[in-house]
Amino acid sequence: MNQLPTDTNYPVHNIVGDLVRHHFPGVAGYVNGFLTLASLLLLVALLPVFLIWLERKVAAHFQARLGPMRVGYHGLLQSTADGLKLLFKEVLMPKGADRFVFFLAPILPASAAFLVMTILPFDHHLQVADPAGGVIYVLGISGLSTLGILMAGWASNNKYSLLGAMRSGAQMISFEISLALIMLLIVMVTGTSSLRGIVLSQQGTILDWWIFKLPVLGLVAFMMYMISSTAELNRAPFDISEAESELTGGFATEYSGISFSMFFFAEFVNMFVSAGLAATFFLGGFLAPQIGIGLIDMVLNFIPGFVWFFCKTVLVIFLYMWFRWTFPRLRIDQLMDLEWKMLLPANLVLLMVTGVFLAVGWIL
Amino acid sequence: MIQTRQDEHNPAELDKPPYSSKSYSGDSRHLRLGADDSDRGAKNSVIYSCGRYLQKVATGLNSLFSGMGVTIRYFVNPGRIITQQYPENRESLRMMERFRGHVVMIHDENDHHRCTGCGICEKACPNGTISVLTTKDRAGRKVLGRYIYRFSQCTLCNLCIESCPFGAITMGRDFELAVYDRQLLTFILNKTQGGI
Repeated sequence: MNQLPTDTNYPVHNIVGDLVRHHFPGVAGYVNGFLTLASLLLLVALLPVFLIWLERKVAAHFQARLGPMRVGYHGLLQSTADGLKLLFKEVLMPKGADRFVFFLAPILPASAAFLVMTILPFDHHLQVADPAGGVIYVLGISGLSTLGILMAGWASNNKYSLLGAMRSGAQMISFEISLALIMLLIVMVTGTSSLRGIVLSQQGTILDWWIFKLPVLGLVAFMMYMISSTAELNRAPFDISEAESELTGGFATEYSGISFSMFFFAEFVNMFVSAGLAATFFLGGFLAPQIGIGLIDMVLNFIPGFVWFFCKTVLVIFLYMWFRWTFPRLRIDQLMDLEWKMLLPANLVLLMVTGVFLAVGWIL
Repeated sequence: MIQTRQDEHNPAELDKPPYSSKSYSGDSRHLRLGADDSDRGAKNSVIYSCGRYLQKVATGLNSLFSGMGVTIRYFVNPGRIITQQYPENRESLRMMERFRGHVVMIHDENDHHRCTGCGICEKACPNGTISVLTTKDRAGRKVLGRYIYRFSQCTLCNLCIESCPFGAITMGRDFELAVYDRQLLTFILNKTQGGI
């Protein structure tokens, strides 16, 4: 088994970076940094277009429909067309709205998603930054999208928006506890909170991924992560902040044009980030799913890591979509019950039992 | 959850079946205070609530997974999709068996129909869509002259077809019925005068 080095982050080799370093040795640091951010920005801009198409197709097939078929091959360009339409729409602001906060709010969730993206380990050396406290960074930044939604609801000067935002705030703050505790569990078993370190702790076969490495508990933790991150993403069945049949769109009621599309884009990038974190924590991140047979493992290892990362992430995203198009929406009190009476106690017990497992050494 | 909360306040209340309106005096169990206390102990014990919790999780997960099973079966069976790509598949599109287009008269290969001009359908029509104009053939019998059907007034209610004793008319399978002129919506359904 070829162990990847855990301690060295540098030097990072890639063709574009080396070219820049070769031709402009003086400013290579700045140019490469700029290129990194630009490529990440490109990813953030293109991902929602693909994910929205995917969501619509998956939703359609779950309901025995076809989904978008007309624009491009099987409707591939549909979300591009929708995005363009949104860009050209008039940006409206309700009377009595707080102008500054109203237009600041949509930027926050999008930038939160972008900021978390900077520390996602796409591949062994394909990561913008790897702070030692990566998990804490993720938790801190994800609060920004809650803030954005609260600000949007408050600034809209609309009762539906305010109700939606308040529900959303209560929901996201509650479920963040569960999410944080599950991340704590991962940090506890890996002994590091850098995301790259967490991935590197799962080297080996599939059985070394944390979903299987911790017998049974890993699977339970993964399921709990899926539940609480779905709630954190405000996706159905926990989409009470939007609840289009009750609140006419919740916090996004008064938004139109590009400000609305910012919320919409942020929702999908956040979904990708959440799925990417699930892949990092439980499914071995960029590591190939080796099965312990030499020849097959060689072939699997030949496929670059970022392909594996995206495959796993899309798999988790498919799970989110599966949830969304199967389960009915929860009522607010059921939602709070689920967090405070079901998930939180289970989380604490899980942490305790994992501690026992670690002490006894019952880890594969 | 709500039951548990009631449980703390008034444990005796829970022992009663919900439909029973009997007072406590009728139930001998409640006269013995000791039994009541032990009940409360059982209901509030950690093992009891843990059991309830686990049972809830198990039944909840079970129902969630069965729901997911239903949707994934739709997902992996694209053959069940009935959506039609309408203008593209115009040539191959067949309308459903039970579709109600406008009324047509059934003709055999010699363009004969079964209508006798009795006018029952005209009476059955709630909004005067049908006018059966009769005439006389050479033998002097009353036969159908023109069967006038005004599609612009028709609600496709099927009452004329139900009322016809001879099965002479039926609902058509044609679905591209839009025209630019209202006059084009008045049809004469019979191809030949008279009948068989």
